[in-house]
Amino acid sequence: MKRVYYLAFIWIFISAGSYAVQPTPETIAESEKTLFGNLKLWEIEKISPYLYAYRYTFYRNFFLVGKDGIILTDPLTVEAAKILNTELRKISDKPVKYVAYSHSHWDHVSGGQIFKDQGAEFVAHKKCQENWLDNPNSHVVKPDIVFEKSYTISVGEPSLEMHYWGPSHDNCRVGFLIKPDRIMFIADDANPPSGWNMLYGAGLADTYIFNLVPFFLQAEKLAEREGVEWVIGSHMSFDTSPMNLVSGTIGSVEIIKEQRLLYQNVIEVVEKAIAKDIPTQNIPDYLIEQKVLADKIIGYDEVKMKVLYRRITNFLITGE
Amino acid sequence: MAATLASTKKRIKDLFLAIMVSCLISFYCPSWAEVTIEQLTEDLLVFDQGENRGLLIVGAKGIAVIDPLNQETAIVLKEFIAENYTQTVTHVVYTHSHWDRISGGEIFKEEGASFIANKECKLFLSGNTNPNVVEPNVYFDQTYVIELGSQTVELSYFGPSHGECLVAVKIQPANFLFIADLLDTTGPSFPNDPTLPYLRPATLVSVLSAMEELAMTSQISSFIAGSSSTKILGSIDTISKQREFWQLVQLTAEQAEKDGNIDLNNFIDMDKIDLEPFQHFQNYNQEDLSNILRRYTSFLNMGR
Repeated sequence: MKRVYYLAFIWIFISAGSYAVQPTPETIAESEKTLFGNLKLWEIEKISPYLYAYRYTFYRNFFLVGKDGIILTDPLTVEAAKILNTELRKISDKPVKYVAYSHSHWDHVSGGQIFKDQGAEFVAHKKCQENWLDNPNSHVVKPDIVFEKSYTISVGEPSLEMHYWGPSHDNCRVGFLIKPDRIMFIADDANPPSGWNMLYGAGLADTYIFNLVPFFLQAEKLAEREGVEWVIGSHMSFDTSPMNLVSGTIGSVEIIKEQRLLYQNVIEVVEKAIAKDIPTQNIPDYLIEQKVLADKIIGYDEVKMKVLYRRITNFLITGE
Repeated sequence: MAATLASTKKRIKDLFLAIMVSCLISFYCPSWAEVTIEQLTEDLLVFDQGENRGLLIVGAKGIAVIDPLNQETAIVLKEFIAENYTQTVTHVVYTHSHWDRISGGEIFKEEGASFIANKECKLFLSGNTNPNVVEPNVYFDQTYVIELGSQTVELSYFGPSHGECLVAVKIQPANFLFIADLLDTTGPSFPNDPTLPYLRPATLVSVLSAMEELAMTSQISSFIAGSSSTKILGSIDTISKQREFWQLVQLTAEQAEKDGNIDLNNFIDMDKIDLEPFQHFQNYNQEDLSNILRRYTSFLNMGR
């Protein structure tokens, strides 16, 4: 009998070990000013001994503090970067060694000059550099280092891997892998708490739909290979309905798969409608009338879904 | 009684046959619109199918197809060419990467035709998942000239505009431009899809300016567009007027941003903008304008 109890104890111990506890971000600094309601304009949260998340308005980046310096990601805006710079000096006296860009969109990558002036090196995928040459913005610091497939920067123990899996949301978005924490970050997608949340920009502007599913499959593969358990969200998100805003700092890695499934499902239902010979101009209304995906997509919004279905129909007709 | 039974049986049999034939017809030719071919000059022909329009350019040494559209169209074109010309199709030009314009080229590939597109199309066409689209064997950078004997076709790429790789096609000696999308031959107008899925706002104006420059230096006065629903030839000044439309859109979005007149979903408060300048453009629609401006407020945020 003792042996049975002993085995049961071992089994419970092993099972408990396989369900890691989600890190609880601790707010270490925040603005006095509010964005609206009780929501602060900005806040900094500590996620692990090396890892911090910085939210400014609805946007978020993260930074890593190691013995050799600091790695920042996406400086967001001039104002956001100025605040972050002040707060960084309260956290560490190490220099900002790198600024890593997640993609080329100005609303995420402006304001880096304050870190450039301190000697930081800026890292981006090479197509981001091309985008900034085609359409320059004086607030976007051009990268010092560009890469094609992947690149790793390190400041002692913490390091940041940047992985490119082809065009997706813009043509140069990379997936970030934070080590040793084994946490991922995919800008503008996979925002906690769920990848099934209604998309903010349903028109999928500057999105390469043909590679969305392969992109997320690659991200999932990396997550599995590296034992990733969590993702950090690049935006505030919502829970149950768009009016119910939540911080969305960190969530399960499953959100990456959910995000892929959202895109995949939307594409599949439009494909089925085309196969049924529904006239292409009627497909959005047809799918909305049938309430397709209405029970799956959180915060399902008919107006946005109409735009999304139209966009996907066009993609299936043209390949773009 | 026996005669009545036989008659009923025959009626059922006929009805069954009629249903079968009707099913077969609806299965094999469900929705394909007729292909029409119209001669614009002696060596330049316009073909339409459904909503799209392509070109045949007949030279002494060979024939160029500009956008084969789809398999049905390509079959009709091949038959038409065989009946009327001794030359074969030597070149198939893709004006951009969109499948609804460039499918069906396989039968020309079998004849040995070259398939040509701008190199930026490669992203969408290399190893693509559409078996009906022949992958180009020639990708060019800025310009590409096809000599067909008595006819010359010059392809020019000025940057992303409608999709990543739209090119302008200059046809000589007829001296026309063919611009598949972006323009309407009836004049400057609102786009068909206000969500602007393929538009590249960052480079659009410079591309249109470059097309104007090309037209001016080549003394071209007319262009052909890729839509079958409009008249074949449009006045070349449509290009500059359409550029002005997009500049107006961008200026309006910029002003709304300065005025703080944009909501959290990036939509502009339409009650606070002057709609009058937009009302001069064809197909004006306020709801469409709201969506168009939404794309531009996103562009101003993102730079893309």
